[in-house]
Amino acid sequence: MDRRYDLAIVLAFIAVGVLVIAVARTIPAGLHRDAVGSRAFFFGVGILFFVGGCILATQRLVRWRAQKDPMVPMEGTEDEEGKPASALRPAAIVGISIAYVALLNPLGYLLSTPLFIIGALAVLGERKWWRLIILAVSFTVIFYIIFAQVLNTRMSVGPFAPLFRELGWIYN
Amino acid sequence: MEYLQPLIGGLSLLSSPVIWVYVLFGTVIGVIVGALPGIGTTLTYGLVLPFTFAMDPVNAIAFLLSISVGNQYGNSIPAILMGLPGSASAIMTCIDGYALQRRGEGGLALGVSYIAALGGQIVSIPLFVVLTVPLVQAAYLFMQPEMCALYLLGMVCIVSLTGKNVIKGLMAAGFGIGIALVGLDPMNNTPRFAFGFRAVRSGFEIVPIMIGLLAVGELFRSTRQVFQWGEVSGAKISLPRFPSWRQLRPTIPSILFGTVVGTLVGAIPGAGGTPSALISYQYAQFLSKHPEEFGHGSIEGIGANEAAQNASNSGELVPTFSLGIPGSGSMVLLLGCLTAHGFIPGPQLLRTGPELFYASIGGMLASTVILIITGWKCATLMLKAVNMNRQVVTVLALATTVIGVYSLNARVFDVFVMLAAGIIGYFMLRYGYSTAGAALAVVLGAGFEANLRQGLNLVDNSWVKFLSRPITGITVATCFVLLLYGLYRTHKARQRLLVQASSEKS
Repeated sequence: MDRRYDLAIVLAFIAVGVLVIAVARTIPAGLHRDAVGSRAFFFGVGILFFVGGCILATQRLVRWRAQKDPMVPMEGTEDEEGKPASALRPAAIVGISIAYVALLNPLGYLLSTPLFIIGALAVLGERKWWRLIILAVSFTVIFYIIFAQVLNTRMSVGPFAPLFRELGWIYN
Repeated sequence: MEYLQPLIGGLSLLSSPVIWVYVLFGTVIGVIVGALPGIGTTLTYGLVLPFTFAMDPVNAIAFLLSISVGNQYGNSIPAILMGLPGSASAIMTCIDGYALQRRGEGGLALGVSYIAALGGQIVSIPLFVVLTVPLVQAAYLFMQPEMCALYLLGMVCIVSLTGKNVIKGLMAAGFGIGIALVGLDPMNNTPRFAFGFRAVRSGFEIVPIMIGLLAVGELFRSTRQVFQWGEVSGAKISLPRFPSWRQLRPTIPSILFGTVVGTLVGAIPGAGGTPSALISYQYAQFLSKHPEEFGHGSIEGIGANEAAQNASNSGELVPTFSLGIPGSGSMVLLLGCLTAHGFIPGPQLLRTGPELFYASIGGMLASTVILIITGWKCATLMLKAVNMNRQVVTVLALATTVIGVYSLNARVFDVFVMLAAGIIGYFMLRYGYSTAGAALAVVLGAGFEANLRQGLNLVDNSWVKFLSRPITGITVATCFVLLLYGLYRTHKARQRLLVQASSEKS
């Protein structure tokens, strides 16, 4: 793993720790007083982030000069050996997922889901467009039937709402 | 009689055809998904959890547990035939099974794995009852101080899930606790860390966070690489013939031994299937007349490993159901399912809902019966599953989590929370912060604080009175012993890795 990213995450933890302690100080004590109080656990979490982060940052910085290569032994889940990995792909998938969720209400499930599936699979290198479209549409329809019709989940259908209401498939 | 009643209750549930349908689905899903490398029980639970919200809780529990049973069996078939373990708990099966497969004895390895998986599952169910019933009967002794001590015990188990770096593991747990505490103060009902947002005034929904951390984070991580599972394994392989009883007989002692070890180790919160399998494998080697075969194609090794990982399914349920302490990521999600159905995890869980106990027994029994009938043929299905398009599975799994979490409350906010947890989970997985530890802390954090403060209130805010209650005192002392042991074990493992690294360098 890249020690620079590792350090950045540790520094983020330290910053969050400071923020948690600062915000915890503003929590009202409340009418009922007890031996622990409303703030104690947050202080504990904030201190854990701050102290733990400082220890990890110090450990990383002490060894910084001794090793020139920024890549250090992996502490997390390793990638599959021999297959090229890219951090851009998950970043793109995250972006597409956020757009999908943001469009879930305005576009409705039936339009936003195929777009998400096609977009995400295109990012992952799938280029057989007809297969993609058939897969995306069939998945969307099957899951809509399961959730909206069988499990009675209220799902946004966006522009299809008047049509579905007329057909008696939805009631609100 | 109290030990027989749960078994009778479990068997009586099997008179309903509906439960069989759910169990059949669950077992098949578990078997197929178990064969896919990297998609373990936890991720599968994360994907199917939303479907369980619309089910009857009894069917939901039976469905989830049948997935576990199918999953533990499913992960060993590609391990033996292709050298491709579906999960970490199948690694030793992979080493011995694949060695046998290369010698042309794949059928024998598969047969032992099949018998061991079924044997481990069947024998572990009565053990589960024997371990759970006394704890359930003592449930009325648990008030807030005792509950607090139990939550502390669960927290200590996080040390087992911390991974290579203990500090990072503890920070991950701290993150989970912090998330769990957002919302109303348990004593004063004043909002904390809500920053004026109405949606989080009462706290976060636990399920989106757990699915985000445990399932979506892993799905995001898997998109880093584009390849097919089949590419790793190589050529297409067909299913060999089932071995004879004479060939299988020598493995029976190791299967029985693996079952007992698997159930007991699985019952330790934080242990789970992988340590169960590895410990029983080590001890089976120690007790074997042919220890030299272990690692080079030992059928006794496969028997012990497979029986233990299947028996750990029943073992994991002991602390989850009797104490409300989920010992693994999948058990966290199982409790999440029960919470969504209105059950409160804790020692009272099975007193208020004994049908859940029966459902777990019924689900595991029915799933085992289905595996007895279809298990050998299912292996063909698993070989096909490995040839599924990995990218398509990942994207459809992501889409399933989105619709599933949306279906909880029909709120887009929940889905955003899940995605945020998924992004955090991605970085945690990459940089060695335990997502399972964080998820466990999310489940336990709020309960720990509430019970500590309400418990202190009960004993006039006196720490001495609080800690001198017998069960509380003993449990807290146990926590400290376990904590010290966990830290010692992690330190030893770290030292071993350092020695190994330095010897490799030299």
